[in-house]
Amino acid sequence: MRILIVSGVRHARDYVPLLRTLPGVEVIGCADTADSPFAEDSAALAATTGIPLLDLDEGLASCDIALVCSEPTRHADLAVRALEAGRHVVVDKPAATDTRAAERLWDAADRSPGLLTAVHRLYSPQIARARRVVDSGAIGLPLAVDAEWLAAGGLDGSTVERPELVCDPALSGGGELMNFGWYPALAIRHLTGLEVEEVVAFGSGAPHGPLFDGPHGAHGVEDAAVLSLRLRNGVVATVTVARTPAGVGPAPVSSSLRVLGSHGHVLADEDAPSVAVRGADGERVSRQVGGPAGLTALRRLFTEFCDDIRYGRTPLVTAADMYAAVAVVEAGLASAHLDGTPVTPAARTANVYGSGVCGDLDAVAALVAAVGGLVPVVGDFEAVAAFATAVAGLAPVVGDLHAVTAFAAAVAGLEPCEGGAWTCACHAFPYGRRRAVAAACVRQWGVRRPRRSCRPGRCCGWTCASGRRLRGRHRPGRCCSST
Amino acid sequence: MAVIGAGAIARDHVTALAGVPGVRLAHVVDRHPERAAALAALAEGATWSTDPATAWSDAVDVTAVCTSPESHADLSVAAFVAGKAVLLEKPAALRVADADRVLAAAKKAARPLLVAQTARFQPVHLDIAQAVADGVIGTPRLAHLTWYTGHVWPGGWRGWQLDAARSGGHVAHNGVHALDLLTWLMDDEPVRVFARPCRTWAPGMPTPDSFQILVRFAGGALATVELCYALAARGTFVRRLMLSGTTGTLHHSSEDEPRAHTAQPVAPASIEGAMAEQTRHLRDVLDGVAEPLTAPHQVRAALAAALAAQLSADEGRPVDVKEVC
Ligand SMILES: NC(=O)c1ccc[n+]([C@@H]2O[C@H](COP(=O)([O-])OP(=O)(O)OC[C@H]3O[C@@H](n4cnc5c(N)ncnc54)[C@H](O)[C@@H]3O)[C@@H](O)[C@H]2O)c1
Repeated sequence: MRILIVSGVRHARDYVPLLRTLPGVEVIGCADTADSPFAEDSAALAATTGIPLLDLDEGLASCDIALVCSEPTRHADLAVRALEAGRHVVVDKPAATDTRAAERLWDAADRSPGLLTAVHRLYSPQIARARRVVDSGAIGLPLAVDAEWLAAGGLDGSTVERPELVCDPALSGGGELMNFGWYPALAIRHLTGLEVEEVVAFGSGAPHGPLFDGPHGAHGVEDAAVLSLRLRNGVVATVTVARTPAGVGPAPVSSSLRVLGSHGHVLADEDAPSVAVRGADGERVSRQVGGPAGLTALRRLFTEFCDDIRYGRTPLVTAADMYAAVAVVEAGLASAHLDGTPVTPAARTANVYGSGVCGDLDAVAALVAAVGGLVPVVGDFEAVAAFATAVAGLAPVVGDLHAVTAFAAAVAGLEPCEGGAWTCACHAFPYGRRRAVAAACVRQWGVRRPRRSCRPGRCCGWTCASGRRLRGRHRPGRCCSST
Repeated sequence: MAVIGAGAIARDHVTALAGVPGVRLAHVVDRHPERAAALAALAEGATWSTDPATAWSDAVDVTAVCTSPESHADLSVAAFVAGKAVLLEKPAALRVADADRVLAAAKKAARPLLVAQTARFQPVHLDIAQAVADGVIGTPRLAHLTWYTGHVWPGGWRGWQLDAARSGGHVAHNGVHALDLLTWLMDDEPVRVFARPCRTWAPGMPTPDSFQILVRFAGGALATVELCYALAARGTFVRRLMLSGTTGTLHHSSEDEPRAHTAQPVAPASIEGAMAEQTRHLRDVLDGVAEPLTAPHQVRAALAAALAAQLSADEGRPVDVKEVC
């Protein structure tokens, strides 16, 4: 398997040596986009590890797997690009910093021939063991989970390359809940198999102050968060994540969780089991049996993913799992921002036709008209069906901006671009309907109406796109080349 | 000591008294004569009655209020008015205003009040409190407290525990243990809480057997608390506390201790013997050589937080503690 590092900003310096120890794996180089804000990181990675620095398209053309290691806010876009180039993709955690990006990733994975997975720790021996115990039925029905995830320091360059990569929201998407919440969210999903229906969080982001003396406060992001989750079927969970001055165990990250079931409980501690060694000088160290769990989990992740590709298996973590984990984190950040107001995570399911509700396209069209003020193409059931596919059922449509967005994208060829404005596929878009969409945009997003009527080939204060799917970012007031 | 309320916890107090020289059981009151008599029979020379006023008679130095929570405030105030010291079972009251009445009566009588926040006296918590006082982790900023127990009240749940009007609700009357412990260890007061109940045994029960609480403290510190009484095997424990401060982290897990594994599990050493320790402390308070460990502002803060958590669990929304004050 030929692996390309796509952007060597985060974790790549740890992944490359690990990948080189895996039989049948070759790291062919590192590449980044021409406009990457961190081109020098990729260059530095290439220099220190001795891998070639490649042009991105060239690299993508000659690899089997793209391993996306950029700063988190570029994860999804780079992964989509690699998927669209037909590659298999491993994207670093968190795979996306909001559900909109996670949805793009999911869409791209559905459309592309390549497999997609993300960095996770579900292959950590203790988590895998807990899953086996749950699956065996030994603890009965899972009823409650509590997960704790603490990083000890690390912002001095030891585990995080530069502090702003986890503290500056433009790069990280958030603070430590964004950085780490992904792990417990995936673990809880893995162990219970249940969707999260409600998230309540208290965090230390603005307007509250950080708990500890790190750089988080300067960026207004949280260095700690506590979450309460309600899962389907009345199952509950808590998550405690933080970057603390000292951890619980000897590793840079201490992670433990407990699953309570109707007939028993199972505990997992990623530092365990270990052997304590005390030297004659009185110093005590602890040697984890089987080596550090983080490393074991990563090694297995890459090994299994190569086998997933070879043997056509589904990866342990799929685009749907990524979306769900991102949705929990996103809801947690939203709840923390609202000082603990309960938030329902964004939801999306791939198969709506099976649900029966959306078989009735007239009903969907009527609902969309009622909710979004949008009038679907008369008789264009295909477009409505595409919409239904995109938004996964009727329930999430109500009051759901994502749904309206998805509708707009699917039916009207509109997509929100940077700053919440919209781009429109003007020439493919009858005037009357455009007005309705614009009105809905104003209502739902607070974006301004176009100054003039749109005409193909003319800049109208909106950006125009020729196709249904837009590539790259479009800015209001700037015509894209296709119109 | 006179005990009023001769139930399960009163029996524990009486057992502990037997091991602490300097305090003895003089008198027992219960509205059920047979309960009062049975408990009094455990201590030589102890008398019994069904008349509450005999619990603060002249022959008594300290009144232990061990009734169900709805009568805690009135009985303690009466004992203070009669000039007695009071050992008050948790929760101190069912309303913050009632706790204020108790605290005011104690102050007026100039007699000590010890609230039986027994978790403070568990060996591991005394040790953690000492470590915090010694400054080994700097200022505590983040806590994660996990108490999982296999416990059904003797007599099932047919008692006052099931009636929120008498107990304050499960989140209030048992959550107060955890919230008091954190109030003490963090040396800070909860200002906002969110509690989520979980009914593991019987979904139709009026009170949940388990719940979790998120806490924000006045100084910004955060805490996650999980309390579950529904471990499958009765008598089993999973106890864990992670307390992270500005210069270090304290962590205890009962999973790390050698333990007896028997048909009737024995509590881990880290939490055993709390009642005797609490009684020794009470004796020292009565002797005037110690201040009650439960300082008045902590009694109020912990109760207020517990009542706010109960409201949060009932209404499914985060609650500012001041809303119940
Ligand atoms: N500190 C701890 O660890 C701990 C543990 C268990 C219970 N408790 C507390 O102890 C208190 C009692 O709990 P319990 O488990 O012993 O309950 P219980 O029901 O076993 O006992 C209560 C007794 O009080 C009597 N009683 C109630 N109201 C009375 C009144 N007005 N006058 C006279 N007698 C009255 C009842 O007849 C009963 O015998 C509760 O507040 C509970 O929260 C504390």
